[in-house]
Parts: sequence; C-alpha cells; structure tokens
Amino acid sequence: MRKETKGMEDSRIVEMYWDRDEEAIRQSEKKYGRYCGAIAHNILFNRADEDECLNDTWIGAWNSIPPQRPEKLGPYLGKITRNAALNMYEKKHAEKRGGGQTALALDELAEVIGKESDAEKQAALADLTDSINGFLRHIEKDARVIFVQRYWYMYSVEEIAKFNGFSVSKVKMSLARTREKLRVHLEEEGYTV
Amino acid sequence: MKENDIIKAIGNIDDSFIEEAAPNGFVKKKSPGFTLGLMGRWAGAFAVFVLAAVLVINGIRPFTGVKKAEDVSPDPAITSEGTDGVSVNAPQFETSGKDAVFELNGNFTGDELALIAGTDSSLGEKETFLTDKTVFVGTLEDGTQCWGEYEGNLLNCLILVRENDEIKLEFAEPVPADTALEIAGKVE
Repeated sequence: MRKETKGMEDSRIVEMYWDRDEEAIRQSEKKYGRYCGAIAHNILFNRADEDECLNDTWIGAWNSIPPQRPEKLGPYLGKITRNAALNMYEKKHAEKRGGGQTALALDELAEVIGKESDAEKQAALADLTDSINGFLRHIEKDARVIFVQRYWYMYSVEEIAKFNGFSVSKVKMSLARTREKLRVHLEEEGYTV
Repeated sequence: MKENDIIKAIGNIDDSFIEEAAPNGFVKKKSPGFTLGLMGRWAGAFAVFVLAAVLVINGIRPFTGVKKAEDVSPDPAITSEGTDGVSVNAPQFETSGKDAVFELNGNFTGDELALIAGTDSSLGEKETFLTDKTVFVGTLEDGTQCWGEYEGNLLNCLILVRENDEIKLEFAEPVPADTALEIAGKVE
C-alpha cells in the first residue's frame, strides 16, 4: 500500500514558486521533506550532511522554478536531492582520499588531454539517460522497481526485499540479471562499458 | 564510460519510474549509533511536544478543534489496514485527560504496520484532530523511544517496532472519538 503525506496540490505549490512566494518552500518541505530526507539519508548517512542537502534541495527548487514547471513535484525535488547528495558524497570522498589533492590533480591532468565541455557532458548524459529509459520501459515491472529502488533510491538489498516481500536472494538475482541486460543493451547502443 | 556517468544518468530517468518504485511510507534507515544529529532530533521533538501541551493548556484548544477530555469518548476501535500480513491485536485505546494515552498491544508479524484508529463510522475519513506539527512520542517495552509528527491530515510517522513489541504512544492532545488516525510504521 502506497502512503503519501497529503498536502497542498503540486500545481498550487508550483504556482507559488512562479509567483516568487516563499511559502512554496515551506509547502514543499512539508509535503516532500520526509521523502527527500530519505533519499539524502540513503546516500549520505549523516544527519548534518542530510540537512545541508535538503537545504540545497529547496534552494535548487527555488532557483529552477521558474523556468521549470514540473508536473510531478515529488520526483522533481527527489532528483535535486539525489544530485545534491551525490555531489556532496563525491566531494567528501575526494577529500578523504587526499585532502582533495587527488581530485585536484586529476582535474589538472584532464586539462592537458582536453576536457569535454559542460555542454558536451550534459548532452552525453542526456543520451545515456534516454537509452536507460528505453531499457527500463522494456523490462518486467518487478525487475524495474527493484533496479530503481537500488540505483535511484539507493536502498539496501535487504530493504528492497522487505519493501516488496521478496527474498534477499531473489532481489540479488534480479539485480544481477538486470545489470547484465543493461550492459548488453548499452553495448548494442554503442557505449563502451 | 565511468560508473559515475551511469549513476548520474540514472538520476534523470523518467518520473514515472521513480514514482512507481517509491517505497511505502518512504522509510528511512536507522543510523548507526546515537549521533549528535539524532540527539538534536529527539530534543527538537521533545521541545515541540512540550510546546504543544502548553498551548493546549493555555487556551488555544478552541482554535484547534480539539475537544476537552470530558468530550472524548473512550475506547475507539483500532483496525489494521493490510500490508504484508500484518496482524494486530489492539481492539481499543484509552483516552484520559489532556494527555490521551494510545496503547497498542499488538503482535506484529509483517514488515510494515499500518493502523487506522477511530470510531467505525469515521474510519477512512481521516479527519484532522491534531494541530499541525504536533509531535507525539512513543516508548517500546525495552525503553526505546519513537516519535512522529502530525502533518496535514494524515499522521504519517516513523515508528520503530519489532515483532511482539508493545507500543505505547502518548499524545500531546486528546483524541476525540469521531476522528480517524493513520499510523505508518516499519518493523525493524
């Protein structure tokens, strides 16, 4: 059974963003704070970082709506949270690897060999996303849900098994098969995996 | 292609896939240990709990729609709303004074706990009876505390219970008989 925290309609909240009404942030937090918090938590597992990440989410929504007008605010905010959390995760791990020097050194070398522009990177990522969307559309629902819960929501295998009433081994098997199918799919589409 | 590229590309998949895979109740993992962040959360929850009680005592009740203790009918029914074979033996809860005590003696056999409490006639109507952001706390048999926040017209909270645990939730305000209450939880 799916449970959602009831609150103001998404469309009304989006209108508030367009009207530059700060109440939009409060309503977003009220309706989707727990949802986004769970996403941040699964990636960061640190309360202070999660809070910072949630703040980044509300700021990100404020700065991107307008021009964006998302129809589904939950996934929209969830994506902002996930990206912010992953960026924070990368940054923290880069710092741990060598006070940030490893990442810095790699960046410096990348300049030598020529770096893809941000626009090129974004276009390449968008193409890859399209390919993954096409792949997900054509696999069975159970396999898709398990895949997204693992690689979008970042839940553990054990949690996914509980959510869906499956055994842990079934989840592991499903993930392994889906990963292999995705690898084949991406190779067929010309990606080097 | 690096693994980061795949992770980032998956981040922008269709909204429909994200919605489809959203777990029930968006349950969080338990953080390991007792962190400062957790302490802060507990302190915050307790502070709001106390504040809510004080506001009721000081006469805000007429504005919240919360009835006095004597208006509260005792022993409304509790029913479970089925998820994954949940079995709950909690036929009633008692209300007393401004700090209504909601007591479940349940045998939890599923992964999730979803309960609706209220009179039969009101089940499913999900009328509001607590002020926005009212916090409740609960204590398990072993002393483990749980907490939740009432938001909007659903009490959508995080309750940590194990099989055969007894949950006792103390509410900051009375529970009128003609209201419905929904609790979403997860067996840890």
